[in-house]
Amino acid sequence: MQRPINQRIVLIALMLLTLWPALHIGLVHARGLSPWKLSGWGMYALPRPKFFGMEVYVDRGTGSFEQMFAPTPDVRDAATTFLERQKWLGELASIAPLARALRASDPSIGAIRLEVFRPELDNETAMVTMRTVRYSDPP
Amino acid sequence: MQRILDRLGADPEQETAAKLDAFAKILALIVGTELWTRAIPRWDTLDTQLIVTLALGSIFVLLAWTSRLRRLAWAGLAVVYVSLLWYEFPNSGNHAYLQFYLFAFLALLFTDEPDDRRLAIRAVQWMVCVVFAYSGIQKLVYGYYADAQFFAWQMDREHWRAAFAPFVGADELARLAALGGRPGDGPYTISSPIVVAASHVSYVVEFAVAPLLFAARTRTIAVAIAIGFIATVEVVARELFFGLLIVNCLLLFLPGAANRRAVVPAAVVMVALILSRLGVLPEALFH
Repeated sequence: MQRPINQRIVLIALMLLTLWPALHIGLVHARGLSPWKLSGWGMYALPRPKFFGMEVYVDRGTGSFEQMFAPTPDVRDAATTFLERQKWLGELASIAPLARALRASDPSIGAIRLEVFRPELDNETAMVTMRTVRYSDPP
Repeated sequence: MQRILDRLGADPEQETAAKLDAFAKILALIVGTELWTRAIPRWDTLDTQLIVTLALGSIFVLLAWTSRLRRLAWAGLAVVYVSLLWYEFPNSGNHAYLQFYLFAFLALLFTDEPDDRRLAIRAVQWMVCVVFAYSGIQKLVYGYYADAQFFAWQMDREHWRAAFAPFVGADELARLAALGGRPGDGPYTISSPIVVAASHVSYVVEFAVAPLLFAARTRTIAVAIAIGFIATVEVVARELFFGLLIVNCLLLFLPGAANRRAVVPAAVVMVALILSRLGVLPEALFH
């Protein structure tokens, strides 16, 4: 006898929910995803960084990058949102909204480079090291 | 998958309805209380999305207490939680995802029918095993429990220090509390053998719970171990709603409808939490 569709959906969901945390662990290693979130059940598995930092470099059509020091409020909001997402999504966080805000604030901005700094605890030495993740738009 | 779920055991048919009913009532209590305890401290700054979540969530929680409209209530809560997860993405805690899964299972299954009811109970039980097993695996693979580095990292938080103070020297606690997590800071280690042992025990317990829940002979003791473990975690980390949610799920492993006896105590705890947030009872730190 064939199982009713609602039972089949639940069984398939259970299988997927059993496999997802294994993929989640892979994404933590490969793309810097945080184990704390997204249903991977890795809360308290890894220390949460106590702060984050970011530097923004823009090319205003000169062919060279200069660091941006005085962002507009919109850019600052977009940067805060990006950093918050980067904290949990690692390299999977998209820089597109921040790039749009940057170009809206100054149409002369062409290429954009971001450097995100996150302190990480080295589990071998038990000392804090700095990890830098770089983003470019266009890639 | 069905064959694996069958190994979780089965209660007499007449017991499963009362068992699932008690589970549903406690789940509704937890969800309603969590929504309100989150909203009360931010009452003056609630945005439209949170007001809608609170209003709809409260209506569906009340409906979940009436057996006739319960399935509609779970479907409504599932929709509310999808919206909440979307709105907060990726900040939502894991227990919000677990709540969504539970709502979805209970909305999809006709819990008036024995087969669906049995599957609903087993689905919840299976998720408990998944949560415990992967919590243990994740702690092991990142390596921060080998020398209690994770516990050392947490010592800048007062309630963590208070919990570990009996086992860690005052000088070492002060040293760890003073570290700011900046590059070059460390070492984040704790010399106390008791704390290092506790660090290993934490993932071993999580590993062990899932298989122990599967074996009929060890099921009850596994529930006791798991609840003891969750209670210990609550003392240190104060992740109260995750703990309450998991304990409610764990009670489904007990034979018969033993969880019926937990409905009134759960209601008392929930009222106390809301009164604590309102300032009527002393303030307690919980997440």
